[in-house]
Amino acid sequence: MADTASDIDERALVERILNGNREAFLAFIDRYERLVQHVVFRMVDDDRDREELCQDVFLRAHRYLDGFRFESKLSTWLARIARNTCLNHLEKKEMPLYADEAPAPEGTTPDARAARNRVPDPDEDAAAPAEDRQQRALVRDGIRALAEHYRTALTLYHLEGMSVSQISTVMDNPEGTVKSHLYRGRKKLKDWLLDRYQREEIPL
Amino acid sequence: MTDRDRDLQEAFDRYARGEGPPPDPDTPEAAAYHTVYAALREPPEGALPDDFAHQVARRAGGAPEPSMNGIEMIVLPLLIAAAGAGLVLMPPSLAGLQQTVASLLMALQDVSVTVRVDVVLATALVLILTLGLDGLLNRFRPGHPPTAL
Repeated sequence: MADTASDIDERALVERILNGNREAFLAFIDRYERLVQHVVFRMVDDDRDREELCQDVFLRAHRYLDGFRFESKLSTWLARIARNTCLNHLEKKEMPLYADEAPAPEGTTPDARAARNRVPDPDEDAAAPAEDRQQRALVRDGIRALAEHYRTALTLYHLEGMSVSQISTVMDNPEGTVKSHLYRGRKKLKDWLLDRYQREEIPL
Repeated sequence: MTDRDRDLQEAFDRYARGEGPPPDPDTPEAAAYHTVYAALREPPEGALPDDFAHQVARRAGGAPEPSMNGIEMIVLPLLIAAAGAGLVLMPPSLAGLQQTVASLLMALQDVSVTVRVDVVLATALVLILTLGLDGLLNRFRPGHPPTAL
């Protein structure tokens, strides 16, 4: 299979990092910071741990970069490190991973606190009805209440635009399992939303 | 999952990929999925500091170290050679091995009448095996980065 321009670009970047080029490593972090942030912030709720974990992900990637064989995209490899780093962290903290848990009381989660303290952006979705924003906030609470495998699959698919095949590599699951996580995760969120709103209150 | 859920999700997926019209939120389920898909595209709240990349680069230092350092590259072949030699030089039968170990223990037992050398040796052996197994299992822990991708 011929290498794409992006592959060649990735190889050049990795080679420069392995040669100790600091600027190349900074470019690597800039390129993948958003991906790592999304995975870590969706998996870990505690503000105090999130930044440290993002740093750990890049430090691990830096340390093990010479073992990267270009058999996948760099983003897939990095997302896998990010997920594994978070799983390790959550296991150490004995946080539940595999069962859906009850959401935290309203307004006590980090996202809820951040939303409360946020200065409104005048350009931001000003036309969206308040009720619509409220429902999205409710869905965000629902996402936090989902089991880890649903959250990760949904984040990589909807936010990072990864394919089912890439996600199956990141999560070390067969593609059928990933598809099931996506469908079930979205259905749980839909049911979560409908359960919390009277059906007639959902604007059509 | 019902067929209705599957149909709705497929319609929203097609729309997200630019392959179909926006699904009409004409039922509570469709309207709820509309909100769910919109929320899933929103990044989580919170941000990393502006100098995040520089902080990480400072912690990382220079070029990454090779996965196996110099000492490991020398010690590993030596260990493999020692294991191979052990297999070759080992007494030809288990009975012979047992006899060798027993005579060795008897000789060591003479060193001290108060210290149970066999117990000490067995404890040390168990400790070494446990540490070795722990090290091996640690390589497969979820936090260990994938190197083969």
